[in-house]
Amino acid sequence: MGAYIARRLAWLPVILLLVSFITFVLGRYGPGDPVEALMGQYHDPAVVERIREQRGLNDNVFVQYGRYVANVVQGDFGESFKFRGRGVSELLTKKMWVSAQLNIAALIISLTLGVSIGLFAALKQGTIWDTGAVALTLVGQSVPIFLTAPGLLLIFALKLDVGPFPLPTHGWGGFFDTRIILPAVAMGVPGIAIVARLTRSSTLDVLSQDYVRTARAKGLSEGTVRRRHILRNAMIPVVTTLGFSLATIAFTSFIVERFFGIPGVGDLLIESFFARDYPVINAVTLIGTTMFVLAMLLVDLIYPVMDPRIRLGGGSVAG
Amino acid sequence: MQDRTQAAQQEATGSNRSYWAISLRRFLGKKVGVACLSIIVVMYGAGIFAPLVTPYGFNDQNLDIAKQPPPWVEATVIEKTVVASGSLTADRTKITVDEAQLRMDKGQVEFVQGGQDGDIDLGDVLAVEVSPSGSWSHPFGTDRLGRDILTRIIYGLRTTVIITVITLVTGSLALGITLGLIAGYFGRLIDAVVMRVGELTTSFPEFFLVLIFVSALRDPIKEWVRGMEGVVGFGIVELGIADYLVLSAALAIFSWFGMARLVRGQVLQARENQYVEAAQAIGVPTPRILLRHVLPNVMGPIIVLVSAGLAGVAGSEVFFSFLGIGIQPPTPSLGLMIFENASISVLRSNPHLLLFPVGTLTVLLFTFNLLGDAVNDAFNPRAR
Repeated sequence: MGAYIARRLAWLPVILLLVSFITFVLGRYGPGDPVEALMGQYHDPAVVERIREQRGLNDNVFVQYGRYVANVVQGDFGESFKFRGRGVSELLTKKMWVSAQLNIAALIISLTLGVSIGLFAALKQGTIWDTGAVALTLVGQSVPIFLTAPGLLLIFALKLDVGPFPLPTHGWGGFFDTRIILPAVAMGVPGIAIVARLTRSSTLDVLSQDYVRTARAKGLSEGTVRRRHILRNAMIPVVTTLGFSLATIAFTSFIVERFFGIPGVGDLLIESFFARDYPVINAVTLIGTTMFVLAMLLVDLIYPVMDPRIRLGGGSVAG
Repeated sequence: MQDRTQAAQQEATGSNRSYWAISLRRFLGKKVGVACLSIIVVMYGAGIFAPLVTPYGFNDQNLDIAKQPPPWVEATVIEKTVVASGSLTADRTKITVDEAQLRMDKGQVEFVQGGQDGDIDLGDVLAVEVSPSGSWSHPFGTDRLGRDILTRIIYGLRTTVIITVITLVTGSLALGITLGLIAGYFGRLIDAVVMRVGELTTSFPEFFLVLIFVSALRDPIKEWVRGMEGVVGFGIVELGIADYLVLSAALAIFSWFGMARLVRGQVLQARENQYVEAAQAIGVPTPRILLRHVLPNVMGPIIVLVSAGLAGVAGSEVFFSFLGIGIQPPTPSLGLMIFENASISVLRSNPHLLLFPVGTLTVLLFTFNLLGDAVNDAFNPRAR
């Protein structure tokens, strides 16, 4: 177990170095010279050359890359091209926190609603409730975020804004503000569908297991059986498949932010892209990849906690 | 009902039928699948033959009819009092003399009160048309530059067609099948290299790789296309070829692995068959074994995977164009149309600007998904 984690963690810097090197080289040698961008249209070649020398832009690419990595490790991603004199870290910190909160809210909604719907459908298998839930999850899984977001806006801003549920549709007020509800729901819809489907099928698997019958036969209350024997076992496949699906959903936050006017990473990224602001693009890529890889690792590490039968690292499986 | 029993009988008796005939028959028996296929054929056909389908060009502007709603929406009329001057944006119940005169010339005002001599005077109350009514010459209305929205959607579908076809043909089919065949058939080092590289590309989030790839390579590729223009002899830059190339190359590079893995697995199975051994024994050259004896046995799963991948590629194009990484204006794309109008204020004032592209995209993705399911049921040997 320890060795497995160590091996996975050892891979992490390798992957990150690879990604950072690719982004750095493409950004550095791609279009748009940083110094000329800084100097504007009229510049003296001698001055440009002096600045290049000063900033070390004439050095060997590996030397430059090493310097970049050393800075990044200390949290310094350089200076934005577009917003002169502002550090990328300073620009990003606030916006990333906003996007992260939105993602966490969407995750909570996906998990709670998804698991409840899935369990409910499985326990009512064969009834009209089950059929309805399955149909809903099928639709929810393939409905694009481009429809969910304006759809929610239409309903809540134009139809219900004076009705019994006046939910705000625009702006940002932090995690505990009602303005987070609609965007988080919009982001959560595919997650709810995926989680519900997984939960339903794995619960149905578990329901037919001998140990559930045994648990009931030995006189445990239905609540205990459901909590301890059904839910816990049914959650294992959900967790394993979940990580990747939810990580993909995280990218929809860029779209949701635009629709709901939330000051997150999305808008900054779009602006940076149009302005060829490579320091920002590189930083977002690096941080995003790190979080993605870490999330995958975290999911891997959760299995054994949930299911003591799983031994990581290829050890023998005991009973 | 008659057809179905007939088909079932034929399926039961015709055991000598080929795999393709059976699969095709099974597919045609599915109403949902056939309906989806027809919708997609119509949409793709409209996209491919866009200049023949629509009388307008995608960039034909006409500011006189800007933001015209679809034909079934009535004109919005508000009563306004004529004043000498005033802030029109602050108070929607007043209108200046000049503005009233201008609207009168266009036939957008009617007198409610005053104006006996037909002239506009201070204090008259006018019924002013603040948003025009639609007309059937623009069934989906027009955008803020007076461009026909249906035309732009059709040209946006053309973008979808080009991106999905190029990406799937180069990425999944060419790269994926070739590498999968080679890796599965030869095994050993080649296999290890292909599979490790593929696993590496899938262990990163695709989004960031595409982002970096596109941001770094767009300008060089554009330059290259511009250079090609001299060779070809006509303006191909305006057609947006560079955008198509960049985006589909980026999507293809990160989408071949699923296909390669599938083909490799199938080849590993097929390689054990005696007919492959027999072909080797009589000295059939390796490429011929791969193409004639191995590949046909793998075609079923390949078709299933390609049809399942359509929605993903189409969705990616829209997603990246929305973020400004994919197709660049003025080339039309559903993603760009949605991006330009993705705000609550557009939904309030001109919902048709947003809802038609969104609706088209939704229909497209849903039909792709349903088609994928139907194809899977019909062509996947395991689903029988």
